[in-house]
Amino acid sequence: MFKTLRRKWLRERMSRQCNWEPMRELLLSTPPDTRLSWKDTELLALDLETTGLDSRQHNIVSMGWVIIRDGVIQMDEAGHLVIQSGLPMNQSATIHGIFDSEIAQGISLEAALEELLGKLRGRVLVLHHAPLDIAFLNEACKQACGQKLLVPTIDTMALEKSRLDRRDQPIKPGMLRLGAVRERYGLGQVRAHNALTDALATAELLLAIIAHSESGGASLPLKRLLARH
Amino acid sequence: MIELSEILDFFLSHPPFDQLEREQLKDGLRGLQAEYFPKGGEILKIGQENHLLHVVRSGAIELHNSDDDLVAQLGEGECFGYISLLSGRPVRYRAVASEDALVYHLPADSFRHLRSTAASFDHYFTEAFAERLNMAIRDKGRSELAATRLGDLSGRAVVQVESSASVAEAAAVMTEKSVSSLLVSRDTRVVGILTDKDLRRRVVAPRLSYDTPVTEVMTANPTVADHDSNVAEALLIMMQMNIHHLPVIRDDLPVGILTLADLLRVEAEHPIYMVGDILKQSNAENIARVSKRLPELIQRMISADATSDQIGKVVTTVTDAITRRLIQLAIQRLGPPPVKFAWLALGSQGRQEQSAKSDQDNALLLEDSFLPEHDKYFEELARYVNDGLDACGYVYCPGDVMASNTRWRQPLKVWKSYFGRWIAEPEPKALMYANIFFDLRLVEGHGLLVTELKDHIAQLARKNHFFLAMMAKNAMAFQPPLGFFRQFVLDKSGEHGDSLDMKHRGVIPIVELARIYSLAGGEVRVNSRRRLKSAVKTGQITDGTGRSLEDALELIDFIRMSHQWEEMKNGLPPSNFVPPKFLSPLQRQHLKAAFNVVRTAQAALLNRFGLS
Repeated sequence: MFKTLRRKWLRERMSRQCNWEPMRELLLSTPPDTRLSWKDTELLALDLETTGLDSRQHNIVSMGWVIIRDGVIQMDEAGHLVIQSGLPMNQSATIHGIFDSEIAQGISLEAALEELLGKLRGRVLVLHHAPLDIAFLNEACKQACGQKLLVPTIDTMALEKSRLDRRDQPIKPGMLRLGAVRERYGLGQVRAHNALTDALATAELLLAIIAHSESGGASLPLKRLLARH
Repeated sequence: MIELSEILDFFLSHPPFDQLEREQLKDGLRGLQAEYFPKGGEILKIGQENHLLHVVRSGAIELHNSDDDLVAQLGEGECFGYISLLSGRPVRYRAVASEDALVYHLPADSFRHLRSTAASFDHYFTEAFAERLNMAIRDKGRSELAATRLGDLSGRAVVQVESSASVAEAAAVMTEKSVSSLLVSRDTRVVGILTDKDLRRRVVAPRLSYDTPVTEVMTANPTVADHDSNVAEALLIMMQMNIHHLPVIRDDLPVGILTLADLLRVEAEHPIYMVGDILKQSNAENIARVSKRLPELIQRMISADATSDQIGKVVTTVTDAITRRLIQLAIQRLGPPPVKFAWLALGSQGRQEQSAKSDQDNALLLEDSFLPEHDKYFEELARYVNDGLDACGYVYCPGDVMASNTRWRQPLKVWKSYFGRWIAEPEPKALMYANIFFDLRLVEGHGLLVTELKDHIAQLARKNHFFLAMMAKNAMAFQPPLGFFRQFVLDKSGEHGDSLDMKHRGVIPIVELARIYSLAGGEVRVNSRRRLKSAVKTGQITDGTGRSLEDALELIDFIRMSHQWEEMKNGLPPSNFVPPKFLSPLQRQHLKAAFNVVRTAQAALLNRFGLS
């Protein structure tokens, strides 16, 4: 209870300090109730494509997401944005062919972030290996409004890691990569890698992980899934 | 709008979505969802409503009927739930993940939209639906259910009102007769139909006066079906017109109304799922695995009071599918055949009268342009199929009547000479072969070769009185017993046996009679019941004899099959030997009468050929 209140207070304080409308609205939106079943919450599975691993040095090239509502992935609410500034010319070809129509024209990072923040209102963010993507998002948000991103997050990699830890299973290099984890859950290989296919792959993986940890039909409360950070 | 290429590519590579244009699909997958089910997770429950088309994205889904028997296993790209979606009726099969599975759900609206977008997409489902009503995938015309005439179904009694009636009067009649629909007629001719739904939608909801003439709210000139059309056709009409009541007409007069529920009830359990499964397997081992479900299928049919005729046809349909698939796989391995061929089913498979487990009898008929160097190909093909059948439980023919035997893998001209010799010189061995090979039927390959051979045989046999007489004499080798005495079989000789060979002393005598009658009539039919019917038509036997023999065959064969099932349930191999203690007093009485019919017919045949 105290934690919830503290978070609320923090959000309000941050929103007062913030003059960038998308961030203010996100901070002021009602966060999901973590005591409820994860199914009662809308989730947004996200993946970023970046030019490298260092958030201070490298750029976001594109972002893709899918929405999970009622425990089901809603395919036609998927989104994908290509960021113009982050896209080195020689790589543009790899973006083509992701989509059926040529929507991959590219927008500014701020515009992309604005759209993403809008989608995150009242939702939980789902990432595979969250710290990396969160670092990039925080960096981008700081550039836009001087503040970090504050959203409840589920990290499928962390969930899988704790499952393996509980079983005392040694973790070999590569075992926690998205493709490797998916394989353990009987999910197929993703053929073309881009932000959206990987976001979808992450969403599918989350559903698989949850299905395997829910026994006897009891639905997991959201807080059991959230990453601590 | 679905923009993701990965998903579009997936759909576009699986039927029937491959019938759609990419643009149509993008628009049509509106509302598409993906859900994950761990192994054992239930996607559909029997009796629930379903408003989604389900497509397996990865993993595997099993469908189970209300007895929890497995009816289908679905893999990547396969759809389910469309029967309930199309019919608007509750789900009939439980869908459960047999492996962790990712399943796409497409909302009913999007499904409907796609069906209206592309006719070929629509046909896939309406036909798949109708297909399930057909016993055989290929021989639609011969299928048992396509052969079920609407006139044979009880349906519902026709309730009619005159066109001058008011809505209130019509509703009163419907209530009194407790029907959900009625026909509106003028001078005995049907001019319209009124259903419960019409009353709700067209009268109550718009608050019309109950004195409104029924002609104003009925569906005028309703779609009707002739009493002579079959169940599959009727279903197709109902699906395509999206109607749930179908008046059945005979000579312009209504004789009944069928509802979708009536038709679906006819459907019962279908081997079509198993046949479909067999045709999907990519190697002989997997076919053998699927074929293990055959005993269950037989059991279901026996407990559903199917006739032995139906059971025989279903089992044969499955054997045919296995044979056909093995041939296709052999051709995939060996490449295209050097000359045209026809794979022949012989014996009980040929006659479509197989039971629990039969051994295999088959042969290869090749085009006359066949050269010795082509034989290597066909030998390999035959061996592959014979081995595959053996693995499926159709053990090698003890008499080596199989396509892998060079003797039974010959061009048309050689086959003609074989039959010529058997018919011209009917010594015991020749008659034995004649009995096997006269029951030939095309399973796969070039049908014209078979037609030509059959025409040839018909001509030879009809003219040959001596040959037919020898066949008749030969047929006397097996005779039914007199009846039963306590727990013993009673024989003419006064001997007592403690079990009865239902095949050789019950079924075979009738099969042989039917074969001879049909040959004498100049026809080369293979199914015993058809042979008897055609023998009545060509005047070989009287209508009464024909029907009595058919009844006798049905009774004897059904008891034989039920007993085989008992044996299998007790972990014994199915046999043809029935101990009299297995029989109820009534069955004994019936059997005794059936044996009498057979003995009388045998005696009449001997008389006819002057052999008595």
